[in-house]
Amino acid sequence: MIRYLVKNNLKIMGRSMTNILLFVIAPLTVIAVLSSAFSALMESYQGVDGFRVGYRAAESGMSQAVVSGLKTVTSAQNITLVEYDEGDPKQLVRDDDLGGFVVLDGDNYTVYVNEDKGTEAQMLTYTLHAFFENMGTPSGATAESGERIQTVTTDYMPAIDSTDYYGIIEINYFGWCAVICSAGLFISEKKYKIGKKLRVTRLNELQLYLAKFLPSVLVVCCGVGLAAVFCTLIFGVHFGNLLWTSLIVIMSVMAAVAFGLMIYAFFDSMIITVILVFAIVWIWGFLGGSFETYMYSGFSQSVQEFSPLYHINRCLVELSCMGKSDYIGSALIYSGSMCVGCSASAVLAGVLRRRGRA
Amino acid sequence: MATILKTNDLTKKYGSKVVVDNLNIEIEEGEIFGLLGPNGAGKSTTMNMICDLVRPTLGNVEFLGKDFRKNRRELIGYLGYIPQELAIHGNLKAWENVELFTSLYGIKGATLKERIDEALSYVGLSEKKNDYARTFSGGMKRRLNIACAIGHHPKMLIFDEPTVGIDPQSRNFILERIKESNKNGATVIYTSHYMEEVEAICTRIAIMDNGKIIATGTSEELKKMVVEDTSSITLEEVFLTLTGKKLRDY
Ligand SMILES: Nc1ncnc2c1ncn2[C@@H]1O[C@H](COP(=O)(O)OP(=O)(O)OP(=O)(O)O)[C@@H](O)[C@H]1O
Ligand SMILES: [Mg+2]
Repeated sequence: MIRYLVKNNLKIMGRSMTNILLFVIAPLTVIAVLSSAFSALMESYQGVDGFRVGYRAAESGMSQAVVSGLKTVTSAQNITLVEYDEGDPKQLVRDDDLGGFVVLDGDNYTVYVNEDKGTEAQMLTYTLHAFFENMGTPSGATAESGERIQTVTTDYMPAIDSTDYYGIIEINYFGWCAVICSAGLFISEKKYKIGKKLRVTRLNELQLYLAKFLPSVLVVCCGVGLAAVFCTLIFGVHFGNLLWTSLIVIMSVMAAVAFGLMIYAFFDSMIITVILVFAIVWIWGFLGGSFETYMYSGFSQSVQEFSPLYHINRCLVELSCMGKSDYIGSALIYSGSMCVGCSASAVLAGVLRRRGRA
Repeated sequence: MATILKTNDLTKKYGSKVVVDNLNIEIEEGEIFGLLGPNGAGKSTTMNMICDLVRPTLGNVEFLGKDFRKNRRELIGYLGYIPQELAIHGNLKAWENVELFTSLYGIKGATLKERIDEALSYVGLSEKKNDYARTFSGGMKRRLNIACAIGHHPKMLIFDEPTVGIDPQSRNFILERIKESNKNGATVIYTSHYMEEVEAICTRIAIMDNGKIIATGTSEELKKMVVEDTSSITLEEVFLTLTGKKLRDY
């Protein structure tokens, strides 16, 4: 029964072109600004240009074989392995300004890290861990190492390009400001007192809600999709696994629309809704890495994880640079439950408002 | 004739202000029932309560012999409500506006198309079918507002001041259309503060003031309440005599 209503609401939204253009152009501008402003910062995070790591391998053939495999892996991460036959590893790290030191001895390896170089240390341990994890024991790493190197490299935490990072994250951020896309409809309904007349029909509150929700989701998805296409064309942003990425973006748009509609249902005012939604989304974005990389964020993990944007950003970024992410589940669950929860609250608010017209 | 709509002690209070006070009206099938009253008399509030847009503080509305609120889903489709405000989307074309509202009564497909054309031609907007409502003049908007409420063939039409702010031609056209709908079987409730209109089309008139009905009857009967010789008095004078000359909307 709401088919025609949805269709016409869609037309109304589509006809307020300025909102939609804004929706596509705004993220593109922000991406351009942020990605150039932060590209230096991102590079320093990568921090991989020429950092050296000392090593010493026991004479046994096994360790030597591992060394050649390890060298290939580390060089892919721009880590240069330098052999030191003698000397105290700790001393060498300090004196020679090394990123760390590895001692390979049969089945064991020991890593000395340079505490002044946190990023390098982290990278080194991670790379080594990933390498040996994949090799089983170091001794098994001979012939097949060439093939396994791929896995090791991609396993490493995002060494992501700033354009990719901000491309993905800003598109998601603006997706959360979705309520702007529906503004044309809300303002029209309010201006012409349509809401009142819609209530002299057979529609119930859920249908009235869906009549706004569905076209909004559609319009926002189109807007986000368009922005993503432009991003790819103009800045060359790489999106990860298309299926997962789209699924997560769609879920996040649905959550964002439901959230916006809920705020609108509570306050019944476009201005308050826009201010509130933008403020809340800004805070979420702030926590979730929309303006700074979350890798640098000074907030504790638990504070960051409070923000739905953190899960979604992290998930999308990891999908882009690693092809997989442990945050897929939490991103989907978080946005899914927000979508359901906010929708239910919005419908309930409508029912109460109807009752409350006392 | 059977009673189609009946209000039982319908009352609405906003805070301590009684806007509609113990209203008991009965409307017969086939009538054009006029509700006359100065600004703020409570006409719109009464109409809103009839349509279940405003919840009464007390009392209820019976429509087609059933409690309206309790049988809302079933009964609402028999009602056509033309609000005092122009409830049309400026960014939709005329036919899209009619489609939007008519579809909400469960009409679809080919029938819906027919009803859209029928409603638009009924209000004389067939030629403007593909124009955006925002480009319409005041009179055209009023007519479109009506078209949006009649596509589902309601048994009862509720007009809340449908002729506000339009020229005599448009007004005359609308009044003719209301009479025609009535001939085709629709019962009409018509609120206004234009005496001539009400006198011209209504079969029965109620005068409302301060939330109360102070007189009901045909225009002849109302005039008789004031003077013996009805030819020497207009309905307006009756109205002013009955409601007093003090300014409303204070
Ligand atoms: N939501 C509300 N809260 C408080 N007072 C209200 C509300 N709605 C209406 N009123 C008051 O109720 C009274 C009756 O209003 P109503 O709109 O029913 O009058 P009306 O007869 O339709 O007047 P008009 O001819 O100007 O349309 C007015 O005094 C108005 O101020
Ligand atoms: Mg009124």
